[in-house]
Amino acid sequence: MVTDSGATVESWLVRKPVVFAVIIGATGVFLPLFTIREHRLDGGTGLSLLSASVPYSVFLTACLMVPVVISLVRMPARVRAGFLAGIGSVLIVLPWLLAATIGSSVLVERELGLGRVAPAGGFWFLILSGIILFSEFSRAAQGWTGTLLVVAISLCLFVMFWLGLLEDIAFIREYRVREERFFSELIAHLRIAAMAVGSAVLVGVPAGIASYRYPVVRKPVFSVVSGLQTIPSLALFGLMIAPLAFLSQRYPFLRQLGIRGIGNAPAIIALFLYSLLPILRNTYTSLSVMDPAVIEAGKGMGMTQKQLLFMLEIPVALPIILSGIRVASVQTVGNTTVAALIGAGGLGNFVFQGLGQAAPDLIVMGVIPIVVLAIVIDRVFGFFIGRAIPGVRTVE
Amino acid sequence: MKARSSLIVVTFIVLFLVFGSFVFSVSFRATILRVLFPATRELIYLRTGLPHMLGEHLSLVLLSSVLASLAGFSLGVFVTRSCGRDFLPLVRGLSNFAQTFPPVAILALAFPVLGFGFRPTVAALFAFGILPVLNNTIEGIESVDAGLIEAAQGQGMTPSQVLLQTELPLAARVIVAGIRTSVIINIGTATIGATIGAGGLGTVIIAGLVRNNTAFVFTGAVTAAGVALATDWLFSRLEQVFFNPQDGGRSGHDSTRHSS
Amino acid sequence: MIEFDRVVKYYGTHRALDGVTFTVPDGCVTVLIGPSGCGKSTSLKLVNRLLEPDDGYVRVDGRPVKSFAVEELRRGIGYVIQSAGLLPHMTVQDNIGLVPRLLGRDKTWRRTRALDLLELIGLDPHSYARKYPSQLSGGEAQRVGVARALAANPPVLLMDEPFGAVDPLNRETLQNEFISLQRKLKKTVIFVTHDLDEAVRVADRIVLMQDGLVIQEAAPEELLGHPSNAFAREFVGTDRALKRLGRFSVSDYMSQDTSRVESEDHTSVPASATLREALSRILAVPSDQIPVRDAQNRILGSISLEAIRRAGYGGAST
Ligand SMILES: Nc1ncnc2c1ncn2[C@@H]1O[C@H](COP(=O)(O)OP(=O)(O)OP(=O)(O)O)[C@@H](O)[C@H]1O
Ligand SMILES: [Mg+2]
Repeated sequence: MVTDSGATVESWLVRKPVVFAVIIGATGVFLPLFTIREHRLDGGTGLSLLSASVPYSVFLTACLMVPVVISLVRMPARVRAGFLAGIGSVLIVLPWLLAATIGSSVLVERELGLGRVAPAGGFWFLILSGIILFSEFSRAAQGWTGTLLVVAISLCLFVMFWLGLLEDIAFIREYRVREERFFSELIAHLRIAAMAVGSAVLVGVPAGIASYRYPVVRKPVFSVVSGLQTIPSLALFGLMIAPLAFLSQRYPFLRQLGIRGIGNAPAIIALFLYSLLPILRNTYTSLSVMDPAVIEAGKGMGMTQKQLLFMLEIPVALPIILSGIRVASVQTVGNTTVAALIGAGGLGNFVFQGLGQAAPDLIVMGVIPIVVLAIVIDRVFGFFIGRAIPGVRTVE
Repeated sequence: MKARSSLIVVTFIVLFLVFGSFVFSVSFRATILRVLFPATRELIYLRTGLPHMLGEHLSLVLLSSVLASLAGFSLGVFVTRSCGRDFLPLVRGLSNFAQTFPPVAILALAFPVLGFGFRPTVAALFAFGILPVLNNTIEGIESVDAGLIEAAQGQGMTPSQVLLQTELPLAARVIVAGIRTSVIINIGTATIGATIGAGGLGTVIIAGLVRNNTAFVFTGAVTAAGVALATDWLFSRLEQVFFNPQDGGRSGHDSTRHSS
Repeated sequence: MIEFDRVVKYYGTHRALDGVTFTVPDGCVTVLIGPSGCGKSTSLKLVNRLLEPDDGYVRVDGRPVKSFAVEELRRGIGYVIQSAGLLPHMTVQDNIGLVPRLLGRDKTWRRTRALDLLELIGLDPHSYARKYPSQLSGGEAQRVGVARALAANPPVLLMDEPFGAVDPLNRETLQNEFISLQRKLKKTVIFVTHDLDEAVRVADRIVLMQDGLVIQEAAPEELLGHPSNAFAREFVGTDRALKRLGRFSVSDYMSQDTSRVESEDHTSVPASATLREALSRILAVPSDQIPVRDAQNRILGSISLEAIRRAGYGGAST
């Protein structure tokens, strides 16, 4: 069906994932698109697209029919994939636009000046169907189409946000009231995560090299580190508190450094311990998969131990080690959220504050940037692992 | 060698007894906590008993993990059959994508969607717990040598015989590794479930954090850590007993494992 | 000159070399040959000190290798191994330039050198310089391995089954290229193989080994003509007389007399061919001699069955 050249014409067939995406999207049309709340703790009333705006419903249904129609028309596979990915992007952006238009007008209609439009099932289903179409087809599309579409989506959302079109969306409201704190918590989140992963790299990489060089070290190091990874994060945070509190009482200079039983210090230590395993393991793996013939050739050419390490072992191992750091980073960004429970900074504060106040919009406001951070970090690492080190592209 | 292994057995038995007494005997726990936290006056969390919280925790994990494993496994098998092949790239892509979501994020989102309590927590644990099982089922089945499958078909096996007698036995180790990852993640995330009112061992940790009572935090943390380590150990025993340790480690397959 | 002097090497309790003594003259190709596990690679690695002997000496130009600084010694000795061992994260050009880089040569020098060497080993410099090892075929990787060993212009080359992983057709091409290269470069080469045909083709001297011992050290004609014991006889095989003919060149045994050759004869043999090829061609025609031509296809003379027989027998009796 689809070939590399993209020149062949696909058979007349609607592919199953397309059907799946359309069904999900159609469900989104019928489900409540938004919950209209009078105030932030109001349970709110659902608003489905059909009841709110007939023209928009027609437009959306048309959007959802396009993939089916496109699948039935004969055209080169690449072009079709481009179209379908494009429709997917429209479906990702559209719900936001609906919130800005329909949602806001409903608020005006019902005279809810302080009301808010909370995205509900239909909203997320439409986005999901867009993501499905996009992820299924963006790779098969012409060269840069996928990247261009991602840029276009981000740009659209950003411009809408910047123009103030999204102000009525519930979690944007929550964001606006605490804009400054948002940025300070974001920075705190990143700083905690970066310090934890950074120190895990400083310890994990040498530990991995040592476990490879000295087989005696390997078993104890690995069992301790993987045992640590097994412990629930909240428990590990909790276990940090007592000893750190004790130490900081005992040694005042530690207190001056800001080390106490609760706060950033125990969080960073626990997150550091957590990040060790992926880094340690990948470092070890990267060295053990090295072709012995290559090492022998290196030695035979007269490389010193140091040169072997820096010119051969590390460059070959780097992509694998970077994948370990990638896993550790994504994981740590998530776990830093939990650290808010032991008094550390970070976006988790919004999430748990939201849970404490039973304020769903605040929770969503906290969760969205965490998820976005995790995804962005994952992609950035993916990009560097894929591009920066050519020749060795085999290991994920 | 023999002396060493019996030493390990004794250590394990002692650890197990100490842990059991800590959980089930209030006076033993009080004694230990008094030694560790001499300054704390209220050592025992009285609102809910530790065994009860442990029970809640285990039922959260058990329920969600069983459901998640079944769902992940079935979906994984489905997308590797000829009828579901069309969905393979999609499911793989989405599941890899979803695995970058922190489990705690999914847990937190359970509240706006489903509200507080036990069931929303199970739902969130279920949702995230699917992913490792799904990924490993797909990977395990996909990594079965195509030649072996052809050979099986060539002997006249039906598709379901190929699945049951060739693919699944060969993929079993990887699939079990996925279940292990999923269960361990769920034990961790369930601890945070206390913040949406799910009960479980997180309850006493959160109570300790709120009331600034380190003894409470310690009680919950040690118990939760013990449960996680014991479960992990059980799984490793299981893998050792059922799978020949010679045919490769599981390490490659849980590299995207989250903990929470 | 490289000398092995009663060298003993143990792996644990296993004695891999049991008092090995032989000499590698300068400017010649000395082939180490013998069945698998007889200690060929071990001997080779003793020269560049990837291994250290347990007893005895390995000397280079009269100096024990132990007296050299190990990295310096290795940088002065080219090393080629079976799987090429190219560094996967470096381009072909950077791989070739590696030893010069270790020796502190500057970038432009290394680049020019790499391009020259690619030319020399018969790979188009401009399309290959920037490729990565994973983008090369086995034979190409092997050539690059040789180029890399030559890069710092070392007087000594160690080659451990350099063409072992290459298919027979390419192997022969590589062997021929190696022979003509060696004619130009005149390196002191130790070449390990377990393929007797390869040995006969490239060797100036052959060292036959078995179970960590040297069985015979001789010129190829000598080894084929007079295997020194039962093992050697079995190793060189029953077609050793035939193999031996492979060592002699047609140009040395042809007669200049062109009068007896019918110019219309279709079968002929190039003057650069071996007597073995000549014999093979004579056996395919009814007459007992065929014309010899040069590269321009001009007839130079003829070679007769009688001459070949005399060469074979005569060689064997000397
Ligand atoms: N690192 C090692 N540890 C233990 N024994 C070894 C080691 N390397 C080689 N040996 C043993 O030493 C003997 C000689 O090995 P060597 O590699 O020199 O053989 P070889 O002649 O090169 O064989 P081949 O033609 O198969 O490459 C063999 O019996 C081998 O099993
Ligand atoms: Mg060898």
